[in-house]
Amino acid sequence: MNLNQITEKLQQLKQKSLLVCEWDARVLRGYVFSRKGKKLQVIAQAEAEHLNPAEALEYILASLKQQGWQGKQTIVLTPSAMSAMVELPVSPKNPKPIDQMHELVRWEVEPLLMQHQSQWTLGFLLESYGFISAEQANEIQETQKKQTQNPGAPRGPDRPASKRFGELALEFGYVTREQVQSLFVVQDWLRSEEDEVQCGWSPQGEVEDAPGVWNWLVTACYASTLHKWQELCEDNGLQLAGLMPSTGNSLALLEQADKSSIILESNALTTTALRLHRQNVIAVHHHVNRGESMLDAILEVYHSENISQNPAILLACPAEQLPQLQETLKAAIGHEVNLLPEHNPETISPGALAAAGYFFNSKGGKRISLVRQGGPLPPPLQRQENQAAILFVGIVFLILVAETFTYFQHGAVSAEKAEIDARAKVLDDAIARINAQRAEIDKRKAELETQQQNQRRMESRLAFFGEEMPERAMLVQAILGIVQNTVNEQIIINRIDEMGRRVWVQPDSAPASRPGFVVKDNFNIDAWALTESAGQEFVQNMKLAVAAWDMEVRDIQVMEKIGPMNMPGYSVSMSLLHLIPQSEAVQ
Amino acid sequence: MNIKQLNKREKLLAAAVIVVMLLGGYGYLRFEPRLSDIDLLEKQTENTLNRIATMEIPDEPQEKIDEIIAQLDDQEKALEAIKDNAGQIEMQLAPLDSQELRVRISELARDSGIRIRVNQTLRVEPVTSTTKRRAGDEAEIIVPPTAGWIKRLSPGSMYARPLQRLEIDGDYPSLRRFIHGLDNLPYQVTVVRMNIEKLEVAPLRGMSQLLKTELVLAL
Repeated sequence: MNLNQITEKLQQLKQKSLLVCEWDARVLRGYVFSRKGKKLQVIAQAEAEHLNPAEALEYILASLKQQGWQGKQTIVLTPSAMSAMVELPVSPKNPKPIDQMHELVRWEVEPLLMQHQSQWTLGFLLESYGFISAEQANEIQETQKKQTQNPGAPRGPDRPASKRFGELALEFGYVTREQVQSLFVVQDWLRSEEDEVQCGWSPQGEVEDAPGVWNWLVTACYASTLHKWQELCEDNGLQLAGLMPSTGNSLALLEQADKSSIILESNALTTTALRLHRQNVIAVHHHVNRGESMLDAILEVYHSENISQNPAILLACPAEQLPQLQETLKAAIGHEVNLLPEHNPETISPGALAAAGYFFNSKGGKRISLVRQGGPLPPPLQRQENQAAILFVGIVFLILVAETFTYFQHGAVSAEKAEIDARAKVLDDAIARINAQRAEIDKRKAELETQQQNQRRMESRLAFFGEEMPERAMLVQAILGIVQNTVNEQIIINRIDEMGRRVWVQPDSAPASRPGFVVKDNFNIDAWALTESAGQEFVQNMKLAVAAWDMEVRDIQVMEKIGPMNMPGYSVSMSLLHLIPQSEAVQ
Repeated sequence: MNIKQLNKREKLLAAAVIVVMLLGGYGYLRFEPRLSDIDLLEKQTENTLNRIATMEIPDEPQEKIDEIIAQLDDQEKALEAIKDNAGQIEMQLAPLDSQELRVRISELARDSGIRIRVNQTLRVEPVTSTTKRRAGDEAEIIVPPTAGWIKRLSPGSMYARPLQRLEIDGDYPSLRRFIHGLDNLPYQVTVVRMNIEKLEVAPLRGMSQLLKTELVLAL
């Protein structure tokens, strides 16, 4: 079920309608009410004049359905239900339990209901329907009395059994059998077997001269009556909310009341007078309209009330009788007569309007009651469905509280986590960025290092082949040139080699004259000199010659030695060292 | 059995059972997991806070990557320039197995009056690094000048070149002509070892003293 469907359902519940069927034993009228804002409106109505209310209900239902009504809730106003005022030592503020209250009310109202039921005789109905006149009815009753006043006569052909009203009416030829049969049907809906009494009640004020005793306006009928109407409604797909009396309900339409007032409500069959004192009903009087007119019935009820003051008079009757009835009543009693309700533009029956007001919980609706199957509803908090609903709402409330708590806590924790995660992400990103930068820099530095190394190697190779090798070639040539230039006729070169430094008898006495330099080339020269001075001169010349080539002469040895052809002379040896700075030697 | 037939105690009991079942089910299936979820979030938050508190943020590198890249570019250019120069030098070096150069040397010796007694390739031990080399580091070794010319030109050295050992006989002027003549060969030839020894045989009158010379040439 989606949201739209739920909304539609709620609107349907909110705009539910009520069918009020008002039956006055002649006509069945049906009004369909619905609430629009705070006002009630009639959305459909129909009426049927069938004598049998079952047939009449079928007829008006068909008519109402044609007008578009599809509801189920129904209240029936019937003369078989009655209202009465009972005094009970029960305060409305501290009511008794339903069962106990029911017993108290039933005890009080049962005699009244029996008396009310006894009025629906065939004679009353024949007279009320106009099939017989009042005189004819009296004649038949007189005949019945004569028959009952001769009880001593033995039953037999001379003393026939007392005949019933209908039989006598047939014998006298006042009515036809069909008329009697048809009214039996009506009587069957008006009278019921005297079985369990079903009641409804509404509290009124405290009884003035009896403290602790309260007036209760009671509505009652027999269970069989209620059951009969309920079956009829169920057969027609309706749900009976309850029964109400056909008159006496217009109390619910009273918005403001004077200190003392009387409501006179009448229809074709019954008339009811409700005496009110400060909004509360203090007396109810019913009158059955026999053949007399509605005005006569109202006047009779009015005069039967023991009115000492001048109460406000409120008249409630079918709209077609107004305003003529209002004027004639005013003229008859010489007193101002107001209408109830004051405004009835749709000309609805006051009883039906009051029943709708009760159903839709209008302001005055609580002043009256209806008779429902199973008795009145207990107070809302004691109804099982309400208790279950409260329990359900309580559970839902607890769950909602828990959900709200967890929702906000989860939201707060999530928000905090999101904030901290964001901070952590910023830091992680910064660290990752710095690490990436460092890695990139390290990589580039490694590349740079590799490249520098390559460059050094390349430079070194370049220097080696481009500088050192040519320099070496020149050095070799230079050594050969120097040797050639320094040798004279007193010197013989025996050997020139590069076999490394010689180890002599004496260590080298001459320390390195150029610290921080290392030997790169080492030429050893062995020579023979004719004289020692020639040898020294040879050494001296070599020193001078190689100095221009960054060379030193070391390991100089001049020793006496026999030379070629056994000539005495001197052996001269020395090393020519080509020196380079130590920094160049370490690559 | 209708619910209306239950007495007050039974209704209360039924209501209590329903409440316990509904609230218990809600608590077990919804509330408790939700609280666990919240606890988990709180723990994660706490862990994150602890991580942040103990987090070590490395210092920003002082070097600028752009500067290093610029250095690399400069280095690249310098390397290219060196390579150009090296290319010219390399042009002066003979191919590693150049027989042509050996022929030229022989011709030079003949023209210089030198008699070659031995002309052979000098086999020397390859140089190896004394330091531990990294795996995959196949770079040639730069041998320092103090190691001697032959070692610097040995296989494995960055300056490795073919070495030719000559034993020649001839007088001093011829030897000098020969060595001078090496500079005029089409490829670079360098004397990297020279041992000159006078022969014990005395020269004939009017003739120069003969010398026995060992030369090691880097081709």
